[in-house]
Amino acid sequence: MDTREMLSQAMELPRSKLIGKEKLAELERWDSLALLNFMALVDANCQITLSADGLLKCESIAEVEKLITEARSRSDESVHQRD
Amino acid sequence: MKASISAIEYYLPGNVLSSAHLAAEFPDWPVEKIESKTGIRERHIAGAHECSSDLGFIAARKLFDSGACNPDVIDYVLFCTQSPDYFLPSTACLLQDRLGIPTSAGALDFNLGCSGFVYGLSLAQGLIETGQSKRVLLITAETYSKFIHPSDKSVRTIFGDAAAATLIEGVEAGGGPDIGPFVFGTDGSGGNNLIVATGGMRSPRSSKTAIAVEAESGNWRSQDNLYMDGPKIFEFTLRVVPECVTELLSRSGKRIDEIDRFIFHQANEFMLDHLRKKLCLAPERFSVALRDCGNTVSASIPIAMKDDRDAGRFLESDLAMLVGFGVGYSWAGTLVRWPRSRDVAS
Repeated sequence: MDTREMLSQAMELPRSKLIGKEKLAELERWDSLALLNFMALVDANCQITLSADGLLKCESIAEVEKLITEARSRSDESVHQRD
Repeated sequence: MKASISAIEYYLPGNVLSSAHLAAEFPDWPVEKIESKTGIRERHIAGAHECSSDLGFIAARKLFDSGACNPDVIDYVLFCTQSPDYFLPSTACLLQDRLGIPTSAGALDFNLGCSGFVYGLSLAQGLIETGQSKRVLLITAETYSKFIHPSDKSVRTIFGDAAAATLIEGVEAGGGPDIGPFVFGTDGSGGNNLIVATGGMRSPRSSKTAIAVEAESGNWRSQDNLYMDGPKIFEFTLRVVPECVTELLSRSGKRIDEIDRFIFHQANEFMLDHLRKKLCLAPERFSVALRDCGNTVSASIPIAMKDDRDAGRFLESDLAMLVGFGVGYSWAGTLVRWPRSRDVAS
C-alpha cells in the first residue's frame, strides 16, 4: 500500500480524490482523527512508528512520503545493527 | 506466602454522558463517528461535589458487601488517583477512617494514571510477600471530568469517572506466582503531552490560567484543563506496548499462546484494536470493556477484569497479561492468575 493509498484511507476518501500535489492544510478531512488513522496504517503496513511531530510538520504529501522513507531507512539500519 | 487477587468491585457514578448527547453538542462529530472511533457509548461523570474518595468508598463498600472480607481485616490501603480530595492529607488516610479499617493499617496515596493499577499490584505484592501486610485494599479512582473543558471534544469523548476496589491477599505459596513478573517503564520527556498544567506548586491556578482559548480542531481549553496530544500519545503507545509485551513474555518464560487473556488499559477502541492486530491476537482473548464507561484511567484494567470474570471470559486459574500505559509517560505490565476459590479460602 503506497502513501497516497494510506492517506486516502486515513481520510476515508476515494484514492482518486488525491492527486498527490495537494497541501495537507487544504484537505478538509486531514484532522486529528485522520492523522491517528494514518499513523496506524503506516505502522500496520510498513512496520514503522512515525514521529507525530514529524508528521505534524509535513505540509505536502511529498513530505509525508519523505518522512516514511526516512523512518524506514532508520528502521532498516537498526535491524542491521541488531544482526 | 504469595500475593493473590481475590476480589474486585467497581463503581460508576450516576450521571451519564452519552455519545448522542456529545453529538448534539458537537455536530461535526455524529454519534456513529464518536462510537466507531472511541468504542464508547456512555461515560459516567462524578457530581459536582463527588470526589474520587467518594467513588472509591462506594467501590470498597461493594467489595465488603460482596462477602470478600470485612474492613477490620484490611491492614493496608493503597489509593491511586490524580484527582485527590486535598493536597493533604492523603485520601487513603480519610478512606481508612470512613471505611472502618483498623488504625493499625498502613495507608498511602500514589499519583499515577493509566499504569496505576499495575503499579498498585506491584506495591501490594511487595508488602504481602515481605510479610508487612496480609490483606491490601487497592483503590484506583479517578475524576478526570473535573479537569476537562466542556468544549474539548478530544478528551470529553474519551474519559469517564470511576473507581475500582481490589483485594490482594496473602495465600499459601505453591503452584507458581499469582502476580508477576513485572515490567516497568518511565519516560518523563512525554510529561507535557498529557497534563493538567496548573494547580500544583509549579504553576498555581489564577484568573489568567482559567481563561479558555480555542485550540486545535475547534477544541477549547484553559491551562487549568486537561490537555492530551493524541498523536504523540499514540506514537508513545505504539513504541512501548509491544516492547513491554515482549519483555514480559521473556521475563516470565511464557509463550504468547500460554496467556489466556490480554487485559490492557482501556484507552479507546481504536488504539486497542490496533494493538491487538499488531500483536496478532484473536479478539476472543483480548478485552475491550469501555463501551459503557469510557477510559477510566487507573480503574480501567480492574473494571475490564471484573467484567471478564462476570461474563465467564476470565476463569479460575486463567493467566492474564495486564499492561497499563499513559500519562507520565509511564507504563507497566504484569501477569496475573485468578486463583482457585479454595486457594483464597485457605
